[in-house]
Amino acid sequence: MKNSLLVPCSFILLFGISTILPFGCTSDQLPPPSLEFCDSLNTPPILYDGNIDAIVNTYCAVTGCHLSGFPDGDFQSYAGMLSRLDNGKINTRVFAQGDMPPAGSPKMTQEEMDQFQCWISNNYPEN
Amino acid sequence: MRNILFTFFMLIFILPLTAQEYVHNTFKDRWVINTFSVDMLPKRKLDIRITHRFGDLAGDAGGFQTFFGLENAEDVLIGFEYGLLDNFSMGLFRAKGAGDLPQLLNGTFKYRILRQQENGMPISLTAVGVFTLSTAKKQEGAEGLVSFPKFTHRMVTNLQVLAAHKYSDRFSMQLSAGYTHRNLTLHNEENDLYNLGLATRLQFSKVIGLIVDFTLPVNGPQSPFSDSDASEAYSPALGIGLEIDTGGHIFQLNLTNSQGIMPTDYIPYTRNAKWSDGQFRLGFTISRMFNL
Repeated sequence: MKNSLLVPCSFILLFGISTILPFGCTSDQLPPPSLEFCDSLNTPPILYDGNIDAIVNTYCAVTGCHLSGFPDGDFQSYAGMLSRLDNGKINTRVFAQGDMPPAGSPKMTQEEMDQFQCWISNNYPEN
Repeated sequence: MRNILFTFFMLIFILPLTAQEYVHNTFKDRWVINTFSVDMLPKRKLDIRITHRFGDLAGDAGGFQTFFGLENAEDVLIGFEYGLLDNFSMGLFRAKGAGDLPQLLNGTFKYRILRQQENGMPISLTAVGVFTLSTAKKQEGAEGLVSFPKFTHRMVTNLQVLAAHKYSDRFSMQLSAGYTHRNLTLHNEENDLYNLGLATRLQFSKVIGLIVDFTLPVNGPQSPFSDSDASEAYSPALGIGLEIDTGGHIFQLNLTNSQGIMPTDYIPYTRNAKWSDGQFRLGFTISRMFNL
């Protein structure tokens, strides 16, 4: 029995391969994260109390997001954030993947991003 | 005498034909839990599949608060596979992505090289290729992978060779070797990763079976053999599941520590996935075959 989808599917496969091949294979690595600027920012050390809590309450712990009962963490307190700081999820979503805060929500300013990033890299002290 | 000759010639012709009798359903499905199985989709069949991995069942991010992970989705996958020929199929899947690379479009191809026979070939051998493209929006100046300095940095490929033997209708075993290539990694990470795999099926009845699937990276910080500091965060992927065949549907319920579904996702990025810390999760797959 002739397979009527064989020809178009083979064509799609060949087309796909010929489109991908020119882009090629690379073995690249990103440069190391340039966190040297954190040395000056962390003097005195950025703390949760009084600094990061304001940032989180503005961009994260807002209606529809990381509040009480939210499955992906209640970020209204340091304790609420701790497990996701320890497992690196917050760092991954905010800095590596860059999809938190999600598109459509207000984005942190560069200064706030730097403070948040340097606070995390300094083992996120509470107070 | 004529009867003896007749019987003799019949045996000569029939024996080779019985040796051609191929073994069916080494596994019930084309995927085990995380890895693929040697089984192929028959020609002109379309298999539609939805796979889900929930959040951590226990530990800090699990427990009753998240109803044992059911309120979170670590990864979701939807897609289809089509049997172009009895020994060649192609698939297209979309996954959320649980690793550092999100929003994944995945193309798969599967080619059967050898097929186990009742009285002949002892193993089935299948090659699988996975090609993944992240469709995430490029983030200029970001420090993670989504900065995509080049378009080709969105791509990850995986090639696997699977060899399996069906011992009986109740028990099958599969070994595999795989190679994953990421065009872009974080600093000081391996672009090329190699892994071994083991999968097994224990069938309790015609309808229900137990499946177990283990992926062991052998290089890079992902591997338990690595002595780098970074390897503390990684764990090999282990899945244990129940597979239910209801005739038209194959339904699978499993427990696994890996978060990502596609091999290009879970092999490089199974992190914070320690069974002892409760960082494992429920998952399910529903698949349905259609004739096209």
